[in-house]
Amino acid sequence: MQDVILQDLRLVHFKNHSQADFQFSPKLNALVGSNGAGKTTVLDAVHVLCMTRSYFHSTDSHCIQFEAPFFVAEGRMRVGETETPVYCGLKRAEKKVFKADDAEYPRLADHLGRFPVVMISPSDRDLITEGSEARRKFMDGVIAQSDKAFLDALIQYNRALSQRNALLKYFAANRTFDASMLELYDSQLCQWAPVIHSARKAFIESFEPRLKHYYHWMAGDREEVGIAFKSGLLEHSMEHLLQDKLAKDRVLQYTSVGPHREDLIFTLHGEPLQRVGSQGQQKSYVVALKLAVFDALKEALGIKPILLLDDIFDKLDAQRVEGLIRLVNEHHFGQIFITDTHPERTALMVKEVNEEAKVLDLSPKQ
Amino acid sequence: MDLSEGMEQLAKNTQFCKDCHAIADAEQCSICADERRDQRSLCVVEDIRDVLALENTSTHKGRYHVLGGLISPMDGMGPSDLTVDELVERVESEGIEEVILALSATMEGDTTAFYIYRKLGDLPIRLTAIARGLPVGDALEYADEVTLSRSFQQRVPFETTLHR
Repeated sequence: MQDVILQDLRLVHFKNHSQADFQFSPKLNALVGSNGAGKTTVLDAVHVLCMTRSYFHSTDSHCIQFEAPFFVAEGRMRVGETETPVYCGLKRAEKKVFKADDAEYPRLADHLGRFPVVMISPSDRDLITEGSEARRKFMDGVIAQSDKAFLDALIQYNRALSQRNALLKYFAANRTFDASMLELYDSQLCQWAPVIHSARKAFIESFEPRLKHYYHWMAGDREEVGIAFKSGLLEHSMEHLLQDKLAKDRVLQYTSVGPHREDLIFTLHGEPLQRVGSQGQQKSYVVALKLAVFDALKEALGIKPILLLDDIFDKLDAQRVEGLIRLVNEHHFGQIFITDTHPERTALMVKEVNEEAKVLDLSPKQ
Repeated sequence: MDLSEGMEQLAKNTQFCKDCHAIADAEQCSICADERRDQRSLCVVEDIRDVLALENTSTHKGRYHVLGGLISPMDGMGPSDLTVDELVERVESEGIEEVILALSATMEGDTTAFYIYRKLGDLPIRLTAIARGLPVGDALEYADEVTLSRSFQQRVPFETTLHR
């Protein structure tokens, strides 16, 4: 199986990097340096080139260095023998320019899935603690990388949903109601909702065994984890739900049913993880979740995604790190980027890995 | 006529054509006033820019109907903000035989087209929509998947693509 490999990276005014050039190993890249040296920023730049946007910021302009007028992140991706230059640039108050092979995409979404990536970061805990939107985004991000029809349905659905909600507000503000207008959008929601729902359902079903596998690998065999799908569409059609909640939606002035209300429930021994899981169990769960995503993407796309491990030692004890190194040595992963604040610990890990490894020190030059 | 005079004329004379609702310099625009145009065929567009774009192609021999926007509650545009009722009236009173929908290939365009379809549904006319497919000169492999799959589903007999 071929790996996705980022060969090099050039950053200009990207977060705390004024200007930086990197050459990477096709296997293991360890980024070391003190806090604030910009290790995680490099991981995020890799994420930008793979996914067209930052892992940490939902607003693109937040990636521009403080008081700088623009940012550029560019690098060469290689899959097998094919090399593709990828460029992302943003000037303040302008539209982001994203190019692959020197050409812009008609739609940014077309880039997704070409160079898959998985990030494991301390902020993944948000998946457990935050609202349902974070979990839908997580799940959709994985499905969209291998299923273009799903992504298209999602875009169309969200657009029709915004229009329907605006219409409900208009009705309320003008004390009027027009069923035939509402139906224009209901029919579109009903067209796309089943596509989104069934793709998510199929994804979760195939995903749960992978999650269990990695959780057991991380935490031993005693604990039973699971992932459940919460959705009104499991029992009723979208048509039925919209009809049933019409009165409520008119009062609320937004649409209260549909795929945009679906959620994932993470469980431990059948109970919600957020309630019953310890800090350690929750950490293990999200790492298992992400490693499962790696396997899911690898299988769906037939290439090994880039793996970004941000501050992984914070999450894993020595035994798990050894297990991870074993997986690396068994060629389970492709290219890996890892950040660490302890150069000695990194050096030790690099020594244990049989693959070609490179240590990049981001500490300020003396 | 100097520039200032021209500006004055522009401000004074600019109005909407009473028939097609395009921007005009008289009560009736030059296209609607042109008797050589096919009186039985009406092309429905979003705004005046679409009229200009289509006129540049010289393919439409009939007249136009300008909606003045697309249905989009998010932007505060409802059917009553458009000239849909006027369209229905024209179709009923002017002996129109074909209405051609030439709207943007967006959700708003589709919604508006569907709304018009329901409004005109019972009238004895031919309601058509412009085709969607590959841009001329584009390689198939670079077409986006939605356009490609749609043009595949709406494929046409090859003979109709000849002699154009």
